[in-house]
Amino acid sequence: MNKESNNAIDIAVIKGLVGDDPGMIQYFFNKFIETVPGNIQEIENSLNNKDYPGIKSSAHKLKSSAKAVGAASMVSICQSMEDESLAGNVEALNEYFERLVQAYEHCKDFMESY
Amino acid sequence: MQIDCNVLYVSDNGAGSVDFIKVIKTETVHVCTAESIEEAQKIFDEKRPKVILFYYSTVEISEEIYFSIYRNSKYIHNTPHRAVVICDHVDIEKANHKCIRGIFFDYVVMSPRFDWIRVNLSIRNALASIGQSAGADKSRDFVRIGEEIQRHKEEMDEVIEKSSAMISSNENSFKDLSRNLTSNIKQFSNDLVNKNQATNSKMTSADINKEADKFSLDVLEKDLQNSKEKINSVMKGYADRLAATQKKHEKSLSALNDLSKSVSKRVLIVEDNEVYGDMVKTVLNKEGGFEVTLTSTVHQGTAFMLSNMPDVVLLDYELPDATAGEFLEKARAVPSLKHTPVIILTSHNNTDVFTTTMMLGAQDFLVKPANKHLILDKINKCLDQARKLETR
Repeated sequence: MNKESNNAIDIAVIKGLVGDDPGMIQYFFNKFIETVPGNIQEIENSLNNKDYPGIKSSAHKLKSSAKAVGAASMVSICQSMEDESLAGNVEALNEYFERLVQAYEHCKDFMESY
Repeated sequence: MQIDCNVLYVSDNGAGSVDFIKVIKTETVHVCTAESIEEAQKIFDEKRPKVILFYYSTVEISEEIYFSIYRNSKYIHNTPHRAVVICDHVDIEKANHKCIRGIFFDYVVMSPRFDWIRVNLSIRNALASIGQSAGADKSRDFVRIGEEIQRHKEEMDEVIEKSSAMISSNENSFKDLSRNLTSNIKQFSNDLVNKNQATNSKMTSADINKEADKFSLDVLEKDLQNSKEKINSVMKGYADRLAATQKKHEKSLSALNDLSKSVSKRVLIVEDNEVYGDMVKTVLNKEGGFEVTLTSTVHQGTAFMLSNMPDVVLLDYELPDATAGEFLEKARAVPSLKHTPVIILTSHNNTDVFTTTMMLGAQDFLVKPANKHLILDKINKCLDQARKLETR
């Protein structure tokens, strides 16, 4: 896999923030992989409870982490979930949630092979 | 410089204080004690200890005493310090809660008996947490250089004073010489008149010239020459001393400048996103050489700010427990934090951000994630502005 390009991750973003040191990048990728499942679980719980403010808050939190590592697809999905949680659109939220899990898996694959 | 008090022990147990000092005192821990709020506040303002230990019958009383000292002290707001509470085992939960809230740095349980080792450990941790060991060397260096500069100033003042005295004394000696000259001329003139009268005014111009030849200014010239040499020699001595002191002074100023540069500026990050917060912390520490603390709530951030006085704050706009506005309101209410630069971290990239930033009284904002150069640049700009404000 090309280390510098992937649909899931824009490596330039994290490089811009922490620099080019591969060890450092790997460290933060690992940190992302450690924390995101918890965020996804929070969103899922809120989704099951139809807790829309909870969905918005968790999606917002996850969006920040995704932005920091350049996970553009996850950022976009989280933003859509924030918007849809305001409208209380469960169907759309469920759909976005599935896409979020897939997007995370792509990011994780990339990060683990970096 | 001898540290005369870096730990203040505040308690109403007067007799126990003596034992306490004996046990706690080490080469690096110097304890002074206070039995009242007024006394504690006075000692704090005079000695600026790094750790305050409270030992009262309940944790609430210790907290109340601490707040009273905080309200009354002139310097506690801008002096980094740690408060440690000594409590009974029934108060453990309360003490722990107050430590989590950031009021106390640590607690030590005193019953069934005083655990001195634990108290010492807590003091050591408290001192270390504010960089006492590293910081103390630097603060001692600051004091040493400050004393040197003061000494140089006194030396230069002394030389200038002596030079002025010398000039003034020589003015007098020139006046004396001038008076001698006048008196000699008068004497010569009188002698001449007397001689002329004795010869029934028959002195010819040749006779007068002959008398005039006898009038010698040699002595006066010699006096003048001596005075001149003496002045030159003394003044040269003063000039050499002044130049040497000036050189030492410049060296001290340069050392002071280097020392100031070597002191890390402290940045507080209040950011609930662990991944992003850790990234910024790492960058600021590694690339900017800053001493960085990361907190994730407004509550923790405020508590840290009050006792640590960071130089800059990076504040997430959306925090879980309160708004950025509430954080700024609390910070600005403390006089010493009124001008601490705050940079808002936000995910929103729109024109409202600038207006909001200004309305909140923050200095600047960064749209997340932002690149490291931009983050460092904004922090450095804020520090420059703060430095300019301080020197005004």
